[in-house]
Parts: sequence; C-alpha cells; structure tokens
Amino acid sequence: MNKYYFYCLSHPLAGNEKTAPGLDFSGPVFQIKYKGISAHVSEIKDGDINRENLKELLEKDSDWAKRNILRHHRIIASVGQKDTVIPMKFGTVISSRKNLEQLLRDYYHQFKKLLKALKDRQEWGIKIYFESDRISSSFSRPKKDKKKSIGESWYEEKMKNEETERKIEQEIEKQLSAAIETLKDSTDNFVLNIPLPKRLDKHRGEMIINSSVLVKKESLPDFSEKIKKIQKDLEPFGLETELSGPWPPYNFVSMEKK
Amino acid sequence: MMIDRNREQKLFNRHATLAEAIDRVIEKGASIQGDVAISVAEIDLIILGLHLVIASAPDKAGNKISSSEDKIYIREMERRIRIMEKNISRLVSSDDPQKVEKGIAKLVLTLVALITDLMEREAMRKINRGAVSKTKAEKLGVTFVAIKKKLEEMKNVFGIKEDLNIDLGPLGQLI
Repeated sequence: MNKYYFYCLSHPLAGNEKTAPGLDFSGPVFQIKYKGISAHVSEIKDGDINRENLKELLEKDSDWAKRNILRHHRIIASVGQKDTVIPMKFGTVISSRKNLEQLLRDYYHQFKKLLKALKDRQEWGIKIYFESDRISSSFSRPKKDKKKSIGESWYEEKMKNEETERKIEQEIEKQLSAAIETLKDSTDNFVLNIPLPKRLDKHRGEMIINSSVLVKKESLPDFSEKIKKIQKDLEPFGLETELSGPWPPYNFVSMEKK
Repeated sequence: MMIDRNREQKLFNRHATLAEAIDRVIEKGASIQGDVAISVAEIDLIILGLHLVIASAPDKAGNKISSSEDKIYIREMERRIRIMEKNISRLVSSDDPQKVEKGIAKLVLTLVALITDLMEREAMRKINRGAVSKTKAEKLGVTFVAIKKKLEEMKNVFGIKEDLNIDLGPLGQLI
C-alpha cells in the first residue's frame, strides 16, 4: 500500500492533471477531493519514507534538503495563488489513501472553518534588527560639566553614561511595544516567533523581533503605511524593520486535537 | 499574480530569507494528529538552516562548501590564521624595528586598558554601594582619568591610531 505526502489543503480546484513534480521520493502532485475540500498530495514511490531516513536526508544532504524544502513551499505557494490554502508541516506523510480520506472526514469541519477564516488573507513576516552603533546621535553621551574637579566629573560622567544607556534601553522597549501594538491593531492576527540566530541570518544587526502577521488583502495599503511609519519611528534607535511576503499562512494554521 | 511570483523569486535569492523559508516550512504549517507517519519537528532547525545557507553560498574558488558544520568552522579558523600569520611576519620584521615596537606596545597597552576597565567597574560598584568616602572616590576618579590620559599619550608615542583591542577569534573582542 502506498503512502502519501500531504502538502496542503484548499477548496477543490479545477483540473487535476498531475503535472507539477512532487518531492524527490514521490510522484506528481494531484488532488484528493472530499466534499468541499481538497488535499494536494503526491504518491510516495521510492521505497519507504520514515522518520529516520527523512531526518537523515534533511540533516546530511543539504542539496536534497534545500531543493525539497523549497519545492514543498512552492507547491503550497502555487495553490495559494489560486485559492485559500492551508499549508501542512514539512514531512506530513499519510500511510494510505484510505487513511487520508478518513483524515479529511475527521478534520472536515476544522479545515472548512480555517479556510473561511483565512479567505482573502496573506501572511507577512516582520523582522526587527538592532545595531547599537546606529543609534541616532541625539541619544548619545552627555556633555562635560566644566566646574567639577577631574575626579568628581569622572564619577558623574560614568553615572550619566549608565543613565543614558538605561534610558536608551527603556526607550527601545517602549518603541518596540508600541510597534507591536500597532501591528496587533492593524492586522487580523499576530504571532511572535523566536528570533533567528545571527549565523543563520546574514543581516548586520541582531534580530530582536521575528513576527508574522495575517493581513486582509483589502487592508494591504493601510498595512503598508503602518509598516512605513514603524520603520521611521524605530530608525533613530538603531532598529531596522524588514518586511517579507506574502507567505502562505504557515503561522496561522494551528489545528485543534481531533 | 505576476508581481507575487517575481517577489517570491526575489525572496529566495537572498540567504536571510532562505533561512526564513526554512523556519516556516519546517517549524510551522498545520500539524495533524492521528495517522501521520512522520513528523520532523525534532530536527534541529539551526543546524539544518546553517547547512543550507552555507551550502548555497559558493566560496571564492567556486566550489561548494561541504555541508559539515565542522568544515565551515575550520575554514573560518584557517582564514583567521592566515591573517594572523601575515601580521606576525610584519610584527617581527627585522627590517623595521619600529613596527615591532609598535606591535608589542599595542599588546601591552591593550592589557593595561583592559585591567583599568575592570578596576573602574569595580570602583563604580563600590561607590554606588556607598562603601567609598567622597574624597576617596575623587582620588579614584583622578587616578582613572590619569591612567587613561597616559594610555592616550603612549598610543601617540607609538603611533597607534586604532582603538586598543585584541581580536580573540571565536571569542570576539577582548574589550
């Protein structure tokens, strides 16, 4: 009995030609339809794919991993260009066609509910980076007090410097909270993820915010204005805001337990 | 639609966003219970991502760097050693005793600067705790300012223009 690799779910789409190639170990992508929903899958043909050998391929063969991760993403993105899409996590394999059909029945109401909630919406990524040497000079060190003796002003300057550092830190906290509030208010949904480490992300600064938002397509112009404002507000504090997208709604498809 | 596709293409030409895509594809997405044969959630995203990002950047010779993290580390260390080697030969070049002197002077001055910095922090801590009288605090202050002026002077004497610091490789800068 063949296993199936499950990419994503949408409403049933016209045409089912099996033209797009699936992941390396599987056949072309096609739909398995059930009532008003449709699973985009491909049949696994090359031997058995299990947790161990998939993990090994991902960890040991970087060319394989890159090619297949991006293909998984592109298959989902191309469905997303035609319809609302629910991306499945990479490596979702169902053990038989019968089980897949059972799964569609079991999750039917949840999938329908999610498709409705995600209709006409896009995911965007917002990352904020910090670089201390880009803090605007208006927040820089205090000037010397000429009347004080050298020894006295040493202590005071040190204290003032610490005070300035503290103030900058507080101000950054304040600005970031304000930015997050704006994002929460102007989008349908907002999630904060763990920032990617510097060695993965080639940016000059250090990533301090890694977030994703869900935006209604009709609200995109307003959203883009909000992002521009956040970029402008944060810049003097050495904070750089980067936007990426649109993404399929990877961050907004959490499923409840059956 | 066309614009979206172009943008998507553009996204994946950048390493940072490749990491972002991996983050999403591996870590996020709907996770269904029941009859799912595999879940790769336990794969170390950091290691995987590092392999992919590095593997996608060909090195200067045009070869693809091997996916092993150790090899990447070794290559980086080799690069640093080559830089240091160049500097050592400059430092001990008998043709130019002035340069030797400057190199050693920089090393010594950096250590003095480091020790001063540590002592200064300790002094601040004591003053803030109220453990030091006002006069003593002033004395400490004058001493530190004097040391720093002296360091500046010595830097000028030896013609050292850059900041005093030592690159400790993977450990970062000394000060």
